[in-house]
Amino acid sequence: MSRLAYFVRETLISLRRNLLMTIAGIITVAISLFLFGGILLVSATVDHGTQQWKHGIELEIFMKVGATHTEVQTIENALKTDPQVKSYKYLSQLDAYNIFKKDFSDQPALVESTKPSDLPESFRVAPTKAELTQPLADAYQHRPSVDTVITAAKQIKSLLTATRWIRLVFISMATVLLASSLFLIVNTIRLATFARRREIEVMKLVGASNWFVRVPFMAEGLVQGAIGAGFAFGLVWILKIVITNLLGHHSQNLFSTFRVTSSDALGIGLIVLVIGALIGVVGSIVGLRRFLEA
Amino acid sequence: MIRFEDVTKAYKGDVVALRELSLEILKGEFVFLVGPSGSGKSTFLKLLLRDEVATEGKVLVAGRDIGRLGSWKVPQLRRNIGCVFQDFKLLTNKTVYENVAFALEVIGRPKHIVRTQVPQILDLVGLTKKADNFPTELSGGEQQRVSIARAFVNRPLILLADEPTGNLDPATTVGIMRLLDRINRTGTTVVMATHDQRIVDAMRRRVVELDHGSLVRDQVRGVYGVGS
Repeated sequence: MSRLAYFVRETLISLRRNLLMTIAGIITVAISLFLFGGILLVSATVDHGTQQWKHGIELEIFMKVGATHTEVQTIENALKTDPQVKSYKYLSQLDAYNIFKKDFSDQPALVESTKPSDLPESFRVAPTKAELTQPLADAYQHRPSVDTVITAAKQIKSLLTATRWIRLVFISMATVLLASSLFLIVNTIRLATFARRREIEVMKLVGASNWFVRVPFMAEGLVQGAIGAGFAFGLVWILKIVITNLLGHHSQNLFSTFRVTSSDALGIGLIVLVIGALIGVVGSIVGLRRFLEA
Repeated sequence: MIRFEDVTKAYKGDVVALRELSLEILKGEFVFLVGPSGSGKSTFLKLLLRDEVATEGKVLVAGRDIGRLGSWKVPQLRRNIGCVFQDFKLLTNKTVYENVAFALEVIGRPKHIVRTQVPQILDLVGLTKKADNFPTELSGGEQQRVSIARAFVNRPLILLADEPTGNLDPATTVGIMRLLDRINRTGTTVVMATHDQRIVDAMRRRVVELDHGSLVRDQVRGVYGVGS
């Protein structure tokens, strides 16, 4: 107990002594993790809207609800033998229900009142060439027992390409910033050990264990990383609210399937916290290495 | 208690600090380590603290080869060896009491031990009245007493002193030597490196003389100068 009190006291003293460096470390951790978390959040939003248009899939054929097994089989056979179809994937009513549950996880009442049998079976189809999308859609639209065929709009396709690039740019920026926040923490810890080199010398002389010497400094790094990550968490949450509001105004158009859920933001926030804490601890271990060897 | 077996210590380059040194120091002995600067006295003490590791040969403390000690066991070794230096190494932002208590706190001794041990040791070194002073408010002799108190508060088996009187005037030196003698009489092995001819001649204890890293003299009741 007195040992814990000692660690807490020493950590606080050290944090206060290097206040400016500490603040700089916290701010860089916060900004880099916010960038990182932000891009994850935007990706999650785009993912929700574009999930069904990945891996070359250009159209989805929805059967009528209540289509018989034979009717579904007929469509499947047609797809199988169609030379214009590169590949297709069958989604059962249960698959549809699982997607539905995920998409509407924010509206439990709606999920509650819906059963798998209320939802249509469907085929996700990848044509051999993108130009064949419209002819294929027209051809299947007029078959009996097919309810509707939807195709990926051009905007969606270009959005997918754009987000891929944006993601790349943001993640590289976040990586650079994360590296610099790591260096800042390493530097803060070095300064802290330098400021207290006489104390460390005496501690080692009288036989304090290596961990006893290290823990206050590691706690210092951890506190910086965690506080920075805490700020980043808050910023990600604000971004989530902003995105939700922006998308709310466009609920009837192309972006109606774009959404971000609280669980997305929470999961990303937790990732951000873990990375922040990790950066803090790793930074202090690196910062301590030179001083505590031998 | 301490045994050197054919110990050679070479630093980077061709600097040989100790050359095939063999020596045994028994429990409770008081040994002066003499010799000119660069003769290997400091290296001798550093090997005992495992600040350095012997290039060849073995250094044994209480029967254990400390060259083969894992780095995580070194703190345990140092808890059994008190250490006093010419420059005292006191923490200027802590009081006398706190400086001594620090040595116990950082090795995880419980509070009640600290509260009983520290006043006791301050009494032994005669600094009870200065417990709340800061080191800068003390004379050199008093500062060295604090550093001895800190080295001895954990009751180590061995006390190493590296030129402990190097910064002190003759009158103060006598006081410090009396204190070290008292500590020695409690059964603690004391090894003191020194240049001070007068103390060595006055104390008439075992003298080990090093020159260029080699043992040139080991005399049971010796004096500083050779052949006298």
